[in-house]
Amino acid sequence: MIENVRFTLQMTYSRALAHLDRSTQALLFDRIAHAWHDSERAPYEIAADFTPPHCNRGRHSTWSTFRDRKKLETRRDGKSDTPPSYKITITDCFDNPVFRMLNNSITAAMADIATAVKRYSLVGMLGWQDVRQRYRRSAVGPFWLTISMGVMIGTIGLVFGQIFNSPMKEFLPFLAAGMILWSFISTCVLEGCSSLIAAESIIKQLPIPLFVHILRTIWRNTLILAHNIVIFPLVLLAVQKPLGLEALWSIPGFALLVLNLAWISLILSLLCARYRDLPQIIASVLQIAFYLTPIMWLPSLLPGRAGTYLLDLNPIYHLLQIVRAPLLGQDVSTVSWCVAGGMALFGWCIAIIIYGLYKRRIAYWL
Amino acid sequence: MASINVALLIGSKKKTIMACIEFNNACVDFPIYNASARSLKKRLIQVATGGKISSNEQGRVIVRALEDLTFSLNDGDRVGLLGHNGAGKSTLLRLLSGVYAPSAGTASISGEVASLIDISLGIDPEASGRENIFMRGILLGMTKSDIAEKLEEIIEFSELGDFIDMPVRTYSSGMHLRLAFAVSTTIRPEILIMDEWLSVGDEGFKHKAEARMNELVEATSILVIASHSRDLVLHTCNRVIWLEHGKIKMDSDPETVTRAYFGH
Repeated sequence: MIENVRFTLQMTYSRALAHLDRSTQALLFDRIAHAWHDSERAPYEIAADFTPPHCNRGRHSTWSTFRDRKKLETRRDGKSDTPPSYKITITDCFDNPVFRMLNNSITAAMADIATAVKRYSLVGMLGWQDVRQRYRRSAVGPFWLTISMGVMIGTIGLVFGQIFNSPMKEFLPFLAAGMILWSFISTCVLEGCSSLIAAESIIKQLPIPLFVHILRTIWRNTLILAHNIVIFPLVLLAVQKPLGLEALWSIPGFALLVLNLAWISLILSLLCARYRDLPQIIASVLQIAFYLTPIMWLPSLLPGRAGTYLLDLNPIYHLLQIVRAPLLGQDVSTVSWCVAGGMALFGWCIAIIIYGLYKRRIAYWL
Repeated sequence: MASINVALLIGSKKKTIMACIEFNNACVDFPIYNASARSLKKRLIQVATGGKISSNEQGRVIVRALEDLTFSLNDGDRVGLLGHNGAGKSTLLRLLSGVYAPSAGTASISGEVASLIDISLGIDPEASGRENIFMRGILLGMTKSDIAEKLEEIIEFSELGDFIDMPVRTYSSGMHLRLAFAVSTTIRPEILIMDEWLSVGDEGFKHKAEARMNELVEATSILVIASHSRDLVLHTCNRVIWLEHGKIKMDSDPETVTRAYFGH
């Protein structure tokens, strides 16, 4: 492009010069050649010089590069010139510190999450180790949790079934599925809060991607859920309710639920590493959410208007519904799928930004 | 054409340079959060009350552990870190292993890093020795098949015999360390980071361990070891960095630095 411009310029000059005598011509050409030589380095840096610095560089460096860049925007010789070229203006839009920082942090967060997922064998091993620790020196191991959960479901089922006067065939499977899933969700969130704090010794020793610790919590709880889910077919047997093929829909539902829990745990673990009194707040919020969500009570018992507030506006209800409804042989409403999907998308965007911005500080907070 | 040549040149360069570390004015500042600054309640009240307590916020204690470190390490460097307690050796080791990111400046580390600061990390006393070999190996970045391949060699080296299938809590502390040592030294990283030389076991085992450590160090391209031992530094290192109050006081060959540091 520069060659072209140079050529056109020379053409214009030569046409104008045709009228002058030879000696003046020679002098002028000499001047022009000289001028070209001087400006051999373009007065503006080309855009390629401003590729974002490597993602693991400090914030400091990013800012200082930006400062240098600002300096370069004025001419090298300090004089004003023709307006900057097209290429520069494009980079200018993206080349502000906020964008640069965001871009860097997103790259860093994505890289960390990708490496964490690639090290699934480590996640699997750590999660298994946690579960196996409960088996050691105990004959039933994690099934203790299952037994207590089973007893609780039985008791609540009997009492509330009587109070609400609901048919057992409908209420008991509903309660069982709800309680089992709720215990999965709430422990995932609660243990997610402390996942980074608990892994402090590893974080301070080995450069393992931090998302591994979040995945470990989720994996451990998934394994425990696999223990607890045993109750559900037993309840179905007890009330003699068949399990249809549509129950398979709960598998994609569960995947979406886990996707949502992952971003929630990621954000919470970060906040809890910084503010240590947060887990208590989260625990009370979860307690409230438990009563607001139809787990112990059937949604059909709600009087008209209340349903809109307690069901449609409750994100936890939708998250629960995408897994529970297929298990109970019901259809999942499109609204539930959309809310869960939207939450996953929106939540992950926020989580990646926050994680990227503060990832490098986590080791300092612990 | 020229650009292709450059790309080729860079490509070939990358292959020959295996590992390199470059620090540019790297700093590490530890913010000290006392119990009150750590709670969300205090933070919210601070926001609500505005300027009054924010002066307190500004005056938060910051400990500068490392200040303006600029150096680069290349293939074949065996670096010893000398310095008194609290000089910033361990912090630098953590910075090198990628655990901390510099709070200012840049630290670029290219190459596979392994840190053997605490070799017993990740060992579960309730699990058997064999399970712990896998656990520790995977934590250090090996794959399951890698470990399975080296499993027999590790067991044989640790001389644990039938104890390998017993829970680690039944081991003596010496046996525990032997196991941790045997697993930790099977890795072959490009950059090795250690806090003091690893030496475990009784007289007989010590020689074996020594040979194995040397083998490991031979195989790595950069070694960084923090130490208080003059002999170790003189024997293993070809470059010594002396840290004092988080700054580099001297960075030179072992003889010069040890003479200045130990004073004779």
